[in-house]
Order: sequence, then C-alpha cells, then structure tokens
Amino acid sequence: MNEYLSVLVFLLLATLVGAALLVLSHYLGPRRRGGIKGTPVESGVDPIGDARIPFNVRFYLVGILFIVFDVEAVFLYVWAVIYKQYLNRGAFLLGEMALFIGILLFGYVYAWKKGALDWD
Amino acid sequence: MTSVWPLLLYYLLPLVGLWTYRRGGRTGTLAAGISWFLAAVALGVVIGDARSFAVISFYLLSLVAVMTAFLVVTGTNPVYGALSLIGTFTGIAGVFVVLQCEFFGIVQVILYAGAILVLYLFVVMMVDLPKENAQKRGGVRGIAAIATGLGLLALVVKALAPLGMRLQPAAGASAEPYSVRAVGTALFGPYLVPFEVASLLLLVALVGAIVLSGRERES
Repeated sequence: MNEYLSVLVFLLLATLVGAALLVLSHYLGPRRRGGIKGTPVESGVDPIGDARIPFNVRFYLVGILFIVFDVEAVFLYVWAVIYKQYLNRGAFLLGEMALFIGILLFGYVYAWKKGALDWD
Repeated sequence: MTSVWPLLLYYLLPLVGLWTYRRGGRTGTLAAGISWFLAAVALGVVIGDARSFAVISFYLLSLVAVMTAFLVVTGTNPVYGALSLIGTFTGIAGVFVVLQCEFFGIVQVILYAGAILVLYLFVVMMVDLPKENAQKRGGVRGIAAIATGLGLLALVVKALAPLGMRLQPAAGASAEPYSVRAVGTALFGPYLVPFEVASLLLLVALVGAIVLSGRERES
C-alpha cells in the first residue's frame, strides 16, 4: 500500500494548490460586476435564445457505439495480459476472443449498413 | 484524475455565487470542506503506519464519493449533477485502488467516468431541461426516494451482518485475487460463457440504439 503514499501526497498537494489559487484570486482579484460585462459574448451580436438546446440524437448513437467498443477494449486488455501465459492451450484463447470480436463486428457491420455512421 | 480535484474544490467553495447549487449545496459543501480539513489533519498525525494509511485513504476517498453523490441528488441542474457524478466515480475508483483492485479502479474511470457518463449527459440533454428544472421537488416522491434508499441500505447491512466488521479474504484465496492476471484467468476460463454473453448484450444495445434513433428520425 505504501507505494501509493506518493500518490496521496501528490493529490493533497494538488488539492492545496488548486484551493489556494481559487481562494487567492477570489480575494485578491478586482471585482467589477454588472453592466455589459455580464452579457455572453457572441461576436458582438446580442445573444438570442437559450444555449441549452436538445442535442441531436446522432450524438447519442455515437455515444452508444463508443461505449460498446470501449468495453471491448477493456476485455482485450485483460486478454492480452494473460495471452502469453496460456499459449500452451493452443488457439483456444484466440478462438474465445475471435468469437467475442466477431459478434461485435457483426454489430459494427450492422451499424455501417444501417447508415448509423453517416452523419447526413 | 488530478484534474478532478480543483473541480471538486470548486464545489467546496461556498462563495461561488453564480453557479452554486440553489438548495442543499451549501450545507453539503461546508460539511465536505470541514471533513476534508479534519481528514488531512488526521492523516498528518497518523501517517507512517501502512494499515492506518489505507484506512485513512479509504475514508478520504469515500468522503469524496459520498459528498459528490450528495451534490448529484441535491443539485437542481442535471448537467451539474452529471459533473458531480464524475467525482463520485473517481472516489469509488480510488476506493478500489485502496482495496488493491487496481484493475477495477482503472475500469471504473475508463468505463464509468468516461463512457457511461457521456450517455447520462446525452439523456439529460435530450429532456427538456428548463421544464425539468422548474419542477418542484420533495413531497411524496421525496419520501418514496428516502424509503427506497433506506430499504437498499437495510439489504446491504443484512447481507454484510453475518460477516461482522472484519472482512477477511477467504482461506485459500490467491494472494492477488483481483489482479489483471487473475481476472483474465477467471474470465477466459470458468466464466467464458458469461463473457461471450456479454458480447451479445453489447450487440443488443448497439442494435437497439440504432433502431430507436432511426424511429426518432422519422417522426
């Protein structure tokens, strides 16, 4: 556990520095609020409407695709770590991962064919 | 991970007027700040002993997780709630590391703080935010939520009570039961079928998302 001592010290120091910067700038910095300073910058044009518009559903689709292949990457990492250790079992381990990737590859092809990867 | 700490402190500063939570935030941030200070002092006193070091780290990290979770449920802006959730995930990842499950800690950051949170954000962005923000809280729904939370807590306590407060690894367990190597050996050995089923689950999620979003595009 002690190998993480330096990590802890680092975190505490980072916290301290972050806090010090925020607090110091809060108390030392000049403060002139109000007027034109409070309006959002929009290239000199008066801002219209709300910035929080609903997102396009395509972003959500990209997000799902990202999660699927993120999970795959995590499993690949575990697999790569033990791969060498079990080489004597032949292609068994390779087949396991090939099946896993194959199933996901099917989904990838499906997404491609359905045009989920096209933006327009 | 380090970049999260200043972010966390941003919440801990009760002075930030413009973006502070409208309700519940101040009490929570104050409590968090005081606890952090006390924990840091305690750390300075007891450091050097490996066992207490782990215990202190655990309490510090779970404090981060609990406080940010508190901000998630008390904040009135869902986007800030999602932001606080990053702190919760990071704290839990740290707890995993303290428990010597480094792999799960890293996965917690990569999958939850990275990927799952993106999905949360998308869902939050898709609902009508101004309308949701204006909705009143508490009442019957609040009571039901508290009852559900207490019920879940009772379940956990009931499950852990027979073990007592001393959680020890089972006799005969390997020295590093949660190392990447051990996880891999288990995953590609006895748990091969769940592993392959997981790929099917991912496939279903992928196809489902495509079908659902396609339907939405037509309407």
